[in-house]
Amino acid sequence: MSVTLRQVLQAFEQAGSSVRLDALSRQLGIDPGTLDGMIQHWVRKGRIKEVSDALPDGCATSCHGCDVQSGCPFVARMPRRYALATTPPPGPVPLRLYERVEPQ
Amino acid sequence: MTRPAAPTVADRSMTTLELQTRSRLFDYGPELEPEIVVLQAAIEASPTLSSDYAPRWLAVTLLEGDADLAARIASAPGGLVVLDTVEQIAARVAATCGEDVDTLIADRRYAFISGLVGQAVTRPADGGVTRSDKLDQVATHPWLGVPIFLILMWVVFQMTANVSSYYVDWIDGVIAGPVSNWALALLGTLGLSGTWAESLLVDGVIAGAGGMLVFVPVLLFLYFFLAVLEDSGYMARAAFVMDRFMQRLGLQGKSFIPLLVGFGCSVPGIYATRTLEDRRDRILTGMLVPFMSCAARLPVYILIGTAFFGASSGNLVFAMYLIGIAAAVMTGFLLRNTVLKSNEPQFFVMELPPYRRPSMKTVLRQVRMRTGAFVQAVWTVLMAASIIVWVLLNVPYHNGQPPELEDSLFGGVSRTVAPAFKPAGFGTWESSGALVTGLLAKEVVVSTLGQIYATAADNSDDATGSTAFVDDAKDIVVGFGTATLDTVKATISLIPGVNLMGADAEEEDTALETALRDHFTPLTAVAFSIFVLLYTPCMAAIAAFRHEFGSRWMWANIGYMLVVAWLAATLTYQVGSLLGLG
Repeated sequence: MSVTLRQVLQAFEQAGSSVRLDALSRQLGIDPGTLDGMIQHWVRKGRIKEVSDALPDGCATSCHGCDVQSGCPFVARMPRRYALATTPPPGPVPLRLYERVEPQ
Repeated sequence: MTRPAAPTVADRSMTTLELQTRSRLFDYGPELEPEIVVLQAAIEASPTLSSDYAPRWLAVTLLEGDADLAARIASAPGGLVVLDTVEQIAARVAATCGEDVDTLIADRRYAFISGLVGQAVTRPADGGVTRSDKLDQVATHPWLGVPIFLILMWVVFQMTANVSSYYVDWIDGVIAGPVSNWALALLGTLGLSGTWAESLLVDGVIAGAGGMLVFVPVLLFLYFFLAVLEDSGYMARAAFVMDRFMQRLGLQGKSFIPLLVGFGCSVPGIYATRTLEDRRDRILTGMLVPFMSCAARLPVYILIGTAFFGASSGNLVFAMYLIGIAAAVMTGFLLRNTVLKSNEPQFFVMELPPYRRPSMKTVLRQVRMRTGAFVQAVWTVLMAASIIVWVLLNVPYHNGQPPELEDSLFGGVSRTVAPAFKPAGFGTWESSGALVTGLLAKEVVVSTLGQIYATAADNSDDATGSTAFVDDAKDIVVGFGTATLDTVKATISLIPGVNLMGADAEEEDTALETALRDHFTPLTAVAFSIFVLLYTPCMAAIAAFRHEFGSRWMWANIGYMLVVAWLAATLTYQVGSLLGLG
């Protein structure tokens, strides 16, 4: 049985709480690697976003005065995680491949 | 849709023809195939495009929205006609199927891949459930996950407190004995014996900043255990479990990152709120971060825990972390339902790495980095704070003599503040003064108490001023060996039913611990710890808060935390007194 991209997105939308990627792949009955690729599709489309662990800009500069700069828990990478985009595009987006020059 | 798999060998070209044949078999379904044919025809109408590109490949790639390719096609003869056709097809498909054309293309491919995987991969009968999966079923269980995390943390704090205590005693002995003696001897040689310089070095620098070094073993062991948990992959599970826990409480799951960072230091924790999109969520999380007990507060709990609760000091430390979390949860509820009504919590899909055997190299590197940061703080921030406190304890001079501590500038300011803490049971000028200097950095609470009580005791009891360097060095080495042996025994004795320490095994008290017992009761000490946990964060955190959320929220945070800390400490003391625990 194959799972559609729409079903993957619906699984995100219907999740009542955070879920593990491997648990979701088991729930949908697809390989975790395939599921990861499908999630990446929605990341490219802006419907799902990968939550970044990158140091916030302010922290990077303010760390100069921070006592625990080198021991900052940010050094420890948190697990890779995805969340639904808070402002998803409304349905299909018109495809625009080139800029048209309006007639004068 | 299922397709037969084509046998192939990577380093031979034997299957090229067969693969080419099968690639033609792939179709994008009844919705797309007719449209691809239309587009192919448009491409073939341009001699340039049809000679430069394979028409079907070009048709599919343009429908996928490849912007780079589209830019090249736009400049080719007949290219704009092709691109117009692509856009018309995309609009038609979206209207018919309610889906973007590139999503439909990807869908067909994933369906093909799934079919192929289904045919080519043989799964084990148990569905490929690994040992890691089985462990996760328990460690990330919806109800068991949080208790397991709390139990593990309790074990970590217990082990840290028990295992490190012998090294704490050893370092305290070294600083109060040989190091102080060498300093006194050196000053005597320079003719500075009995002068302000001696007081500054012994009562200021050594008793204050030097006294903080006794906590290095505690941090070494704590960071070691935490690094082992982190490198084993468990901490990722803890993050997952706590995220889900926070969502149940109605808080944004994303908040757990700043809060987790807050356990190390509030400053990066406050800046980490930038990962939240909504300003209300950012402020709400920023208000919670300082309640997470940062590493700077740990020396206060360790000091009070070992002074009043001995081998059970780990329980006090653990309780402080829990109280901090509880205060944050209550604050979250309060703010979320009043001034900071925020959006519905957001859910995550997390990829958890498999469990693995921790790498000693990685663990030791983390221990070195994190403990090194504390040692660096001792020689910078705490050293400066100790000198400032020493100056305030020694002015104004009268007839060339320093004042009585209580009459010093420090004592005067502290006496003014002290009555506010009477209902909480620790309304002495010493503890009040330590809380005031704790605003510089929370560790300064301990160094200030060390300075006050060391000065009050007229220099350290162990420092005699006379020194035999070789004997002292020998004592230090022997002391280290004894501490190591006791630590090994204590570690083995953690195994239930094993006791290598003997029935009358007792740890030595440091001078500061003894002084604390003269000025606090166990109840007032606990109330004091709760106040230190909950009151206004240090100056650096306050500055970060103002930077992120503005002056209004900064003052709100300062006031709110002071009130919460005072109420919690007073409640603890008053209820404890009523129950006869005082």
